[in-house]
Amino acid sequence: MTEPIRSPERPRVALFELASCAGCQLQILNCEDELVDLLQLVEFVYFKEAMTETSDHYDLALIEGSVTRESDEEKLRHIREKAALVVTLGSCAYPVGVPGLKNAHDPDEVGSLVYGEDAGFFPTIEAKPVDAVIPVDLHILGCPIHKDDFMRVLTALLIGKHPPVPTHAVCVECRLKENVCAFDRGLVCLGPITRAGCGALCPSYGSRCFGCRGLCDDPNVASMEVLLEEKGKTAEEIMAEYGLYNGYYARRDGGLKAKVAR
Amino acid sequence: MIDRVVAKADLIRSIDSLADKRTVAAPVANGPQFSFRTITAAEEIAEGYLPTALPPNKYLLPPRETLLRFAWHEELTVDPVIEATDTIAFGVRPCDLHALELLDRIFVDDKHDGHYRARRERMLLVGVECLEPCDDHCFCESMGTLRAESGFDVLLTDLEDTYYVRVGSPEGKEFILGIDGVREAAYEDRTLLRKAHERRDAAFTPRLDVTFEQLPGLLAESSDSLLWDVLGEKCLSCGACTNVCPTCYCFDVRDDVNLDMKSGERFRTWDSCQLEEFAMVGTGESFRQPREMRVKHRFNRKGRYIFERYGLHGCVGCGRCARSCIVDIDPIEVFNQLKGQPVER
Ligand code: SF4
Ligand code: SF4
Ligand code: SF4
Ligand code: SF4
Ligand code: SF4
Repeated sequence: MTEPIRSPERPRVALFELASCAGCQLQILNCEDELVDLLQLVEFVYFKEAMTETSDHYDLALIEGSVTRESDEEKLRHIREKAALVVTLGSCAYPVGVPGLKNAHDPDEVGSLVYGEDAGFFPTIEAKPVDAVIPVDLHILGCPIHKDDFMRVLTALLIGKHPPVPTHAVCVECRLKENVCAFDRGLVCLGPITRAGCGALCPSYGSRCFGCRGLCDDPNVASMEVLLEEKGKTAEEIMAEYGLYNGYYARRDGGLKAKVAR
Repeated sequence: MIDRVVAKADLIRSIDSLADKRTVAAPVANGPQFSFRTITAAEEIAEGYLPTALPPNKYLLPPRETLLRFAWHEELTVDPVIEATDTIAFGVRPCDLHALELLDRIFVDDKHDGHYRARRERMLLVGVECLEPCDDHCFCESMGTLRAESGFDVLLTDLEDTYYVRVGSPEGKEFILGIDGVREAAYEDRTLLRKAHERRDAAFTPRLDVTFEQLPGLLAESSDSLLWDVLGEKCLSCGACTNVCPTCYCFDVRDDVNLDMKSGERFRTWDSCQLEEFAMVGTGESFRQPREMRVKHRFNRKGRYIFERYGLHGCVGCGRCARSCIVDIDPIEVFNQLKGQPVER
């Protein structure tokens, strides 16, 4: 029992940003108490919000944001070739958060709404999650990510241990908090099919889960949809319910049931 | 031990002053439901409460608990973490008293769990008898858990202006004798108690079509029932039913390493047989992956396995699981359907 837990080398980390609000990067910068320890463990070689130097040699690529341009796809393929591990940060990167809202509208309309007459200079494509373009090793979830989650995943990766990502639904955490269930408050809630890890944040503040962490492993979407129908939701309303965070997969697969079956 | 009687006003005064000195946990209203919370005054205690969202077990086996801390400097050091405070759990229902007897059997008698035991030794259980059924989901009468003869330090019965007090332990005796105005029960008090019990016995009717002694046999015969498939299609595997269950005690143990990579902690968290990961082994296979198998396993735990193993109730009929299941899977219906129409494959 004399082997050190610590790996002898400092892995090189690069953090890339696609379409996002940069809130997840800020969560990392907010780790004031931990930053010193963190920098002992890894070397940041690219981090736009925090440093000016850049490098094309890295072991771990962190990716924030959704794919919204052709050039993003090329960039991702390049990153995948360079990096041993690709880990996404936040809901934009998976399962597509706020940037995905535009997918429900006419692309030209959205373009001119944002860029006016210059829209032609900014061609964009349907907003996609990172794993729709390249294989991803791990998603750190949430809108924004939680810094503790980030630290736990990072330390696990450095030790070479399976990262502690919950496989179960938000309800598990919600019941432990003794929250009054949204369904008992006359609302509907995506907690039963959404991956835990946020501590049931939204239901704990009197709201409900909108699914920002994507589907849990093995969600019973079929039963969930029967339940939503019983609560008076139409098929369109159910799609809209998924739309806020899970719209990309719901649209691509014609509903989340099909996504699960894939 | 001699039964006592205490005026409600005297008990309230005593709780108010105890709450200044020790942790007093009691059911408190939280919207339409109730939760055990630390109170500062007796007036916070809810009246006519349903079984709490989480059972009082949370004070003995917390949902997340640090078991030990380790550090690796010159050499490896491991320090067990055992945290316990004097706690009075006030207003524990008979169903929960039965459930705690099961947990005591497992964690104290059988497994000698130091963390549980330290807390249990410092917990005083003040039970309160139920005189009417809590709602349509409870079936304690069928499970034989409506009446508590043991498992409490004191047991109170509401006689309008007073509580009739049965004493179950020396600590309970000390607690009750510490209350000003307490007196020995007289013939008239015993008559009032008997009448309250008669009213209770008339108010509770069995909800199951089987007795709890017949449940193990029924479940063994029903292994191939189609009902499991029906329930498996419906169940969301949300884990609500096991989290809220007073007889569920499964946990997972994990280690977290701190960023210094030299120290960390081992902790345990509640786990649930309804979750896919529960029965997953190191190589990634889950030997109870199909949802219907997980549902079947839970009902067998509740009605059969625990009873066979410990001779104690694996389900105390509190109805919490049914109250919190958003797709309405209710053990009353499940057991009665198995009995009524053994659906064969
Ligand atoms: S509020 Fe949502 S997350 Fe919480 S228990 Fe109810 S369905 Fe599950
Ligand atoms: S409750 Fe749902 S929407 Fe809210 S943070 Fe958690 S996963 Fe996201
Ligand atoms: S509460 Fe209901 S839906 Fe959730 S795991 Fe239990 S039986 Fe299944
Ligand atoms: S199975 Fe349901 S009714 Fe039985 S003890 Fe558990 S929560 Fe209560
Ligand atoms: S289930 Fe029975 S013992 Fe438990 S609270 Fe309800 S009435 Fe009381």
